[in-house]
Amino acid sequence: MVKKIARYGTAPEKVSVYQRYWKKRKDGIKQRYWRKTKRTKTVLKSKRWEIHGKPKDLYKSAVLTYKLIPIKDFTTIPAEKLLENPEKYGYEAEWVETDVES
Amino acid sequence: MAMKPNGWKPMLNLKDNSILGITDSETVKLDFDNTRFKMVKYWAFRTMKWFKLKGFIILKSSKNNYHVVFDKKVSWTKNMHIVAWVCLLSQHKALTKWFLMQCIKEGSTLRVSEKKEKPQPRIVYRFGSQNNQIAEFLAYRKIVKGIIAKLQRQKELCSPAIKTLT
Repeated sequence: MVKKIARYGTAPEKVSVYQRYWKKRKDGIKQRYWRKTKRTKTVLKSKRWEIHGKPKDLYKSAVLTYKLIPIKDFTTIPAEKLLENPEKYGYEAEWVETDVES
Repeated sequence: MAMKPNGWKPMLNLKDNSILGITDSETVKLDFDNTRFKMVKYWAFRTMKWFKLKGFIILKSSKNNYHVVFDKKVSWTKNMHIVAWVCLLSQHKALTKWFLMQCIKEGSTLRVSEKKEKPQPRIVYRFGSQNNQIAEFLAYRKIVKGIIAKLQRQKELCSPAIKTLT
């Protein structure tokens, strides 16, 4: 396996808010369910880029990911692909300073 | 793993809050947190001799925190075999935690950039062969350091303009 450059940290992400509700079952027991609402909230999540490729592309993509947060929590991607279509894999936001493990 | 934002507000921040590191599966790496240099050196020597890893470098990431990189190219299975052996014999809790995290990721990562108040890791000790995985690791480290320097220059160029705007 080739070496990869990892950019990792904590970043804000908008997630859907779930609402709980109860439904009475046939046997008389009230069962709890969760419903997805239209509301969203911002949470901090640990995110990670794992980029591999040619040094020139690596250089460009590492600069690009300075303000680009991966949509998925753990994204392994070739630098060339990321440079072609950055908005497909990430969104623009700032990394938040927290204590993260490697 | 979601955490509460705890009053997080989007703001103009010139500091790089993310961390840059190098990940791969074929280089044996160890992360010794809260360990004296003497102990790190002892474990590096013992591991190198037992598994015939040719050589190693020790990087100091901050006070009493060290990284070890070995020179011999190994498979991912062998890599984890070696790290698990060190964890078991040294009974090192921080190293064991780091080892488990690397197992989940299926690749071991060591930091290259600064982290909060911690500086960039620097080489403090070299032993044996340095031509294989260590040379490759240092070449990638150079690339990452170049990226950090470039970002730093850009930030310095941008900051006076931003200051005048605010």
